[in-house]
Amino acid sequence: MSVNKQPPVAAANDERSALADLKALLVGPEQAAIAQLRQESDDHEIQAQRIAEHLPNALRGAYERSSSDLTDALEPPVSACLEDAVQRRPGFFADILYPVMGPAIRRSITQAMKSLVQQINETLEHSLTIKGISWRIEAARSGVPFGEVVLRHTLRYRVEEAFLIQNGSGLLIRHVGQRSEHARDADAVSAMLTAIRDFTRDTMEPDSEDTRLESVDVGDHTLWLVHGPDAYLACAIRGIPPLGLRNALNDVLEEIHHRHTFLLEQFTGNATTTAPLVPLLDRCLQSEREQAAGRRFPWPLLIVSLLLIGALGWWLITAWQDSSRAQIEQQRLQQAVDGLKRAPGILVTDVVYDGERVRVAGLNDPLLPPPAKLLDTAGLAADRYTLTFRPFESDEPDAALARARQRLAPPDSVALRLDDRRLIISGNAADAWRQRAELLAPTVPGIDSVDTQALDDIDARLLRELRAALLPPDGVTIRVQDGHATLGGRAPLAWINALDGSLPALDGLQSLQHVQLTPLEDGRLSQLVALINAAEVPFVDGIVLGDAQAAQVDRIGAMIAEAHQHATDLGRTMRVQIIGRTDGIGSVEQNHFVASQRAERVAERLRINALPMPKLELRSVTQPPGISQPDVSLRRVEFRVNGIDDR
Amino acid sequence: MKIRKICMIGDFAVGKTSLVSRFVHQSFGDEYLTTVGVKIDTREIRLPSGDELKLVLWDIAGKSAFARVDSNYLRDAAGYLLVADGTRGATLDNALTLHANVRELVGEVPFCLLINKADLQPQWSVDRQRLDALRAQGWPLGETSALDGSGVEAAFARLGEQLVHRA
Ligand SMILES: Nc1nc2c(ncn2[C@@H]2O[C@H](COP(=O)(O)OP(=O)(O)OP(=O)(O)O)[C@@H](O)[C@H]2O)c(=O)[nH]1
Ligand SMILES: [Mg+2]
Repeated sequence: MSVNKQPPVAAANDERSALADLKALLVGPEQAAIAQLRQESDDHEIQAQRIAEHLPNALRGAYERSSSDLTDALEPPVSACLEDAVQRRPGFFADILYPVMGPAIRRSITQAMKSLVQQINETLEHSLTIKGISWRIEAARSGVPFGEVVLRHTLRYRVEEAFLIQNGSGLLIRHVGQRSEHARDADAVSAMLTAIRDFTRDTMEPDSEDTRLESVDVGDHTLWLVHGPDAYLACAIRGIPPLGLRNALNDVLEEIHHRHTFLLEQFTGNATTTAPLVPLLDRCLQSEREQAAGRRFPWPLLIVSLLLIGALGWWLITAWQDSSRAQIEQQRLQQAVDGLKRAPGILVTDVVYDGERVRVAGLNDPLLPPPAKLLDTAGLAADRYTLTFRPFESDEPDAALARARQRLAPPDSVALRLDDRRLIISGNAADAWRQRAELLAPTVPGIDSVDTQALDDIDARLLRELRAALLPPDGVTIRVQDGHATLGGRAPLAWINALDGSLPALDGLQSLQHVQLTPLEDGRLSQLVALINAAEVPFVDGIVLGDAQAAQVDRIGAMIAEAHQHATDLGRTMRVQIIGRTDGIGSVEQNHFVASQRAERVAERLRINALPMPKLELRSVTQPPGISQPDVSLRRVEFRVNGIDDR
Repeated sequence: MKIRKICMIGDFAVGKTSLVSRFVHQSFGDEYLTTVGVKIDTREIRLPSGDELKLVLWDIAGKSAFARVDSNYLRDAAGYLLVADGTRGATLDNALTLHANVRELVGEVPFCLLINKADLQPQWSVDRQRLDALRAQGWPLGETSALDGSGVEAAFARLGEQLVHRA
């Protein structure tokens, strides 16, 4: 705006439009382009489109120029994005990763299982041998796990450690080992190894590049060195490695050089950059198992298997025994219950098995063996069963018979039998009992009719037959009970004596008793004794026996003789006292003399008839002195029979 | 963790092995057992800057001025310590000669010149003016004693720092 003077408006307008025209002529296209550019640069959409067009190319270019720069630049935002996304949608990523992770996890599990099985086999195979035991001792002594010791002894060779070492500096690029817990300074080892390698080369042939340390023997280890342009591989090998291993190691080293040239060249001791080498280096850790000569028979495995089979067998047998024992118990239980069901007079209505116990309910006839007793005889312990039984009257033969016996109360001589609901009574019983039985029997459940034809009233028959055989005199009674006969009453002694020793041979007669039978003679003797004792012979005066008195003495003498005869028959010894008596007139001596003379006179007269006489005892009895009145009735002789009641 | 190869360079019996022993094992023995070939030790250090570093120390047998420095042991060293014995002035000359040799082999890598046996300062025969001149030229220079340990940690740390910052 550095115009000094204001031009006229029209001129100014002209001038302006001319200028504009000029401008349009001169820079018109550029102006348009600028305008468009401005518009485009303001328009974000167009811009985004542009960038989108060129972005892939730009990225490709950047990657080609310096791959690490681009990755470095992209790494933070990309990982942030991923992290964020994973946190927000873990499920989505799980789904994506699943096909990859699944097989990987499976493979790793399979691998782990395989090695576990291998280790178990190994351990089994070696733990039962003398060698195995010595190895175990070795393991205990050295503190190395037993598995490792076994491995050491059974491996032909094993590459235990591999060091990838930078040629010049001797710096360790990467170390891999079978046992990660190896706490050794791998860096110092690498440097030392390099120093040794260089030292030997200098000592042997300093100028030749071909003379290089290839192998070092250290105890039971061999150190193999495999050389490359930038780095060399040092492998610690236990055992005797095959020659082929060197080629394999060479291949590994070559591949490392080929694939990671940059990494090897640029290595300045930064261990973190060498992680990609690990998978390659791991291929160095090869091993070969000692092939057991002729593949020994796997005794330990066999023994273990046999033990296992034995244990299994034992288990099966005991299990079988247990089950069969249980089965037997169950069977016994069932059999007992079945027996109960079949038993007469028992009606089982409900059975519940409860393991080794049983609950049985039903009805039972109290006259027959009770259920508990049946189960007991079947060998069932009382704690195995519970019984709930109510009584009832059974019409089964056993019950009917038992009930008939209870109601009829037959004597021992009677037998009861049941034949198709018909009670057959046999044996011997009184008529009265038979009648009662015939009446009562049909009231018993299970008995419809009675048959007493085989029932005999033996006693009645015997009575008849005895009467006929013995012809008992009047006054003799005969009773027969169950074949035993008893005689009672009075009978002549001779009849009674005839009975002794002659039991009549009658069918069914068990015995014949007659102790209750009294001999008829016994009564006559008593009669005679009474008569003799009451008899007296009067003496009027003096001691002379008149004719009347003598006749009386003879009558008495006959009675004494008969009595004596009966007494002797009955086995008794009769004695007769002849007592002479006086009244009180006169002196005592005189009276005694008179009394004894009177007894004497009677005795003389008794003996005159020469009848069999018992022993006669003479006695004299007088009145006490002082009685002055004469008493004729006292002048007599009396008799007293003794010894009849002595048996 | 960064790992660096460091070489100990110097005349016989100047105390190279003793310095490493002091630095690595915090121990000292007054017995002189000359090193044959090379002996290697390692130690991890944490620098004042916070970096962690593992030094692989190549303790190389002493070399007289006339001997050719063993090129093999020096190859690809990240740095070295030149050691001289303060009580023997000639060892400094030798150190400087060795320095020139080493330079040819490994290039301009960090190093440090150590005048050892500082505990015997009164007996020192090393040319002090020479030392000052070197210091003035910008030589990294330290006085150490493997016997009492003075200056040892500082010398290694100083070299370590240089190694880290160079890389
Ligand atoms: N007083 C003292 N003696 C030291 C010191 N450092 C080393 N020595 C002694 O010096 C002797 C040589 O030490 P070394 O460490 O073996 O020397 P070196 O440089 O390794 O020798 P080479 O291996 O033969 O090259 C030993 O007797 C040490 O005790 C020190 O700082 N002070
Ligand atoms: Mg030494």
